[in-house]
Amino acid sequence: MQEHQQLSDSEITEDLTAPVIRSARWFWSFVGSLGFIMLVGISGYIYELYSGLGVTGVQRPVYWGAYITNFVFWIGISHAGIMVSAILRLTQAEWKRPITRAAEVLTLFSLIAALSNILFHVGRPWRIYWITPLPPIFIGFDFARGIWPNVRSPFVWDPVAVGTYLLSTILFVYTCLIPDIALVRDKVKSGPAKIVYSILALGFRGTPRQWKVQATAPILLSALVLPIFVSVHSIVSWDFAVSIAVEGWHSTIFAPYFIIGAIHSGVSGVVTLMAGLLWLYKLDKYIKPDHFDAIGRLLVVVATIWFFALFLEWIYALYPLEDPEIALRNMQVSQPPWSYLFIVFLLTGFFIPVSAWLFKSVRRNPMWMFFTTILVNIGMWLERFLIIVPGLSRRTELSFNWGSYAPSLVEIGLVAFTFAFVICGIIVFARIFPLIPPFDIKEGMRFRHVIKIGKKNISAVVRE
Amino acid sequence: MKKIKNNLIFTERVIERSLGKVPVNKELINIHNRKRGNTFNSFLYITAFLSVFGIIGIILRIMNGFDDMSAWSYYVTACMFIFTTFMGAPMVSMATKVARGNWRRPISRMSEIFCISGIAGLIFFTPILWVLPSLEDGRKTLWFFDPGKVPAYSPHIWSTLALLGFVLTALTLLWLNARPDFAILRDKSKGKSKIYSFLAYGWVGSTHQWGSLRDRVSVLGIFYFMLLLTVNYFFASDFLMALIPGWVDSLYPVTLSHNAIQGGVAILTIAVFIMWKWGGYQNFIGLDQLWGLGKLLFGISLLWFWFFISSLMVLWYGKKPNERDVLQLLMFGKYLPIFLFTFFFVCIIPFFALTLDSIRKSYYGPPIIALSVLIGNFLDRFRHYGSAYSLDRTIDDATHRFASLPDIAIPNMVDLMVIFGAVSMPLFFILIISKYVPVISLWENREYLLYGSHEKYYKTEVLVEGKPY
Amino acid sequence: MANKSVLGLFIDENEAGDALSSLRKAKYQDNEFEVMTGTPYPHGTFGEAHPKLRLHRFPIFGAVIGFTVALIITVGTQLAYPLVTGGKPVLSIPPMLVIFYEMTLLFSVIVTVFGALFESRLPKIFMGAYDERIMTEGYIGVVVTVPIDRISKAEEILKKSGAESTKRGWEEERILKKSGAKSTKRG
Repeated sequence: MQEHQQLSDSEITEDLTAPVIRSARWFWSFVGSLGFIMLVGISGYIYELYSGLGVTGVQRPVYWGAYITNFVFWIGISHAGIMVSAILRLTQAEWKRPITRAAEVLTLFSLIAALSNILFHVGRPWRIYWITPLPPIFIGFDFARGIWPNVRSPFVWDPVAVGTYLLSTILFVYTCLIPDIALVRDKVKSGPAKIVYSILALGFRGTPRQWKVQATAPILLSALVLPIFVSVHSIVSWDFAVSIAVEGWHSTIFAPYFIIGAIHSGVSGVVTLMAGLLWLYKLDKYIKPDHFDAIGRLLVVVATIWFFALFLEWIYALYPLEDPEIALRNMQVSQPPWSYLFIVFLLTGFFIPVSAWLFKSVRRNPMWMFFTTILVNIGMWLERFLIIVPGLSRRTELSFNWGSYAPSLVEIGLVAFTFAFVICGIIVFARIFPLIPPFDIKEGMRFRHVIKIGKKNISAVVRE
Repeated sequence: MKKIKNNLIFTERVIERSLGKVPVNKELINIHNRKRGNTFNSFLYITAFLSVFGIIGIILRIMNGFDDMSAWSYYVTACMFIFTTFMGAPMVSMATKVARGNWRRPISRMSEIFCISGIAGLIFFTPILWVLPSLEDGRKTLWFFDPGKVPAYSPHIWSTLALLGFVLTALTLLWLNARPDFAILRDKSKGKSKIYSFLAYGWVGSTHQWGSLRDRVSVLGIFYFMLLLTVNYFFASDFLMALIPGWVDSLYPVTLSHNAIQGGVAILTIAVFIMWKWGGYQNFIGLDQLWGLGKLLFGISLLWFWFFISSLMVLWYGKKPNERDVLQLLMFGKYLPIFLFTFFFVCIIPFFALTLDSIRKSYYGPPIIALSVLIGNFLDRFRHYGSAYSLDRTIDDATHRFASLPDIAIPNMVDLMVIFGAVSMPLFFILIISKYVPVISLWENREYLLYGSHEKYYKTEVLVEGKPY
Repeated sequence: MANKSVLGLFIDENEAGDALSSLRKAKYQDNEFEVMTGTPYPHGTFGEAHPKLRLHRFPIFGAVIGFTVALIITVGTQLAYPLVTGGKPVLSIPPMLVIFYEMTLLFSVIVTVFGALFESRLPKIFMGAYDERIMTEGYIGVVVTVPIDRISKAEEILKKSGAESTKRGWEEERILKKSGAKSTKRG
């Protein structure tokens, strides 16, 4: 990377802990407006709680709508975070340094957002604890519940998998955060903040033993979290795929297809986030065009594999030549409004961004990357919507009544809530902890070498 | 650290490097040019003999006729085994080049040499074109057969074209990557310089040539990967899935490509081990290479389970008559022992063994596990192709299930000849070509002198590696 | 005798390394002195002893615990109230695999994180002689923790090796005796 700048430790500390030490000028107004959106969403939810699911657009036979779409979408986004971080850690890619933490935090908040969608979607959210295998003596007051969760139901796997993923992500983020909490502890002069950071830092002093753990533990945890990450979206996809009731869902490729789609949308989410952070916190010394370039190339590969999976999904849906399946596919591509959505999905999800990313000038431009990755996520949201809704709204032999689906205002409000929540969560996290790990950047400065060959300088790095 | 204006700054450490006075590694050239020992020659003769045996097997099989598909089950298995092991090995070179891993340098050429086995694959594949019936038999197909509009031999036409493209791309890749080495050998070795100057095809190492080499290799590498997917897609669909009525598994083409890469990594691990142990390359191949391959094998074996469970879950839950049939046929019916052995060899053993640091990070661990993967891979091919080709495709009208499931066929003499031939012929080609193409890339190894070295770092020594372009 | 610690702050890596070798020469044991840095350095940069970690064992413990929990959740609960749903056997392996898989990994992660804390010797309540500049500005700290009678000599060695400044701090034994003492982070 030729754009490298050697920075002093104090400068790095100063730059990267600045958002933690004092609020930026825009902070309160930004968080305030996001808070307003969240408030609107929550009031919609209270209304929904009071009047029941009738206030949403779901009706027979389309029982799953925007909430489930949004659930799958956020689970998808959550994937990239850990994927980017874990894969880059395992392959010891040098350009991971400024990206990993932000990616992990994105995972954290998008998982919470995903889980909240389930709460919005169920009719009696106050019985959500029924999903736990707590023995009846613990919840003896609840007489209706005499039985255990049915482990043969995919809806029991979901909370197990997502809960595992959430808990592991929290632990993962915290483990990697300890040195930086110690830094903030030392940076903050006094006051209650100092006490809180001191407790959270657990007395970290930066001895060789502690640094060795900091080098090994994330790799070990990455190796453990990666299989969890693969399982979570597979399980979410099986919510659909194990059922034979709906055409277009019962396909074996669903698990890999969902995973690769999740990586596609999630890595794009990470890029969007990187560009946002770059502008918000003026991090151009740390996030370089090279980083966008590297991640852009990764995206081209991921997007192409995803498209191949989409192709296989379609071709094998048509392969048995069964009428209901053909009718469904026909409806998706030729019957408005689905056909319009389908075109938008293809263009935004694949054709526009991927053809743009083939150009180096686009990949190296944060502004371009910001918009193209947002396009991807519009496409990927529609992808989930087009899997769920048309499949359910197709007339089958035994449906007694049928209607279509359009999201109600409450649903739109709650979808907006999740977006606001994730953005707000990341901004608030960045107000409390450094979002770019200073110790990692400082390590990069020490590990860096330059190999001079003739007139060319090549950056090199210490390998351990 | 230095103190500059009250700030501590870590100054960049600069290493100057040039290849001006570093000659091409003589040891590598000497090992390549040396007279091959008895072991090498006896292996060469054995594989040559078995290849001839295999060809006789092919002829005998053809003479028996194409009508009885079940007689061809071992044959197709053997042919597919070539494509899902030998032809997957070059992916290691392509993938590690994309990831710019420096540990690949000593093994990338060996991985590319496996491209030559495509020729053996083509030889074995050709008769299968006559075994596979035309689309007029009414089976489902990728080509959505419509008499008059879609040619009845679409699968045959397109898969042959894809396969030819695949093998040609592979051979071109091998040649392109080896061209600078041919030029070195043209200038450095006596006796064979005519062949080498022909193969080097005017390579002088100009900046332009190096630049275009890099571009061509990366473009062809991507092509290779896409063709690998395509070829396996055809093999999985028209040559397999279409022959089992009611089997709809959109994942299987990807699974087969994955199996090919797994088999490729496994056979490459063994090849690298042989180079280390008996090839005289102990100074060039180290723990890093076998460990790296071990890690790859571990990751890929985990993926095997994921692909397997993704398909199983959907079919098992679906429980439609055709799905139950497919599971009975491929896993839980008469082929249960084959399935269990496959699972054991290809997933359980690699997973539990390679989890252990002491096995993964060793010279002997990865190749032994690789052997288990190869056995498993063969059984997996047999589980699918063997059952598909010997299946009686009549469906019972009352139960909507298969009227009967095939027994596990016992290989007869001809089958054994074909199987041994299919394993030996690629090996024979590889041994032959290793006499002319250095099995460790001379130029990639020399290039590494520019980018990797051990440097003093205060009180210790560290490995510093650069990743150019 | 109570332990006391002294910290020397270094700018140059070589000087810090020299301090370590001089300490060794003066018969200070490897467990009596430590380097502190604000960022990881390659192992052995200062000639320090290689810490031995046993982090790889923890996930296996976790996996065993997780597997057992999963066994109780799946087999236990399903046998406690056997109810056939969807035409599947009460103990069906494919769905149970999912729970086994998740629980095994979950407990591996949890135990690994505890293992990471344990191996880092965290939490450490009394930090001994410490300076904020190590984390924030990139100074290299060498801290020697020895009985009180050997402390002055250690301080001398540190100064001689080129420490920019030194400072002293109390270790836990002394603190515990002094009831109500405050944290000694600032030495």
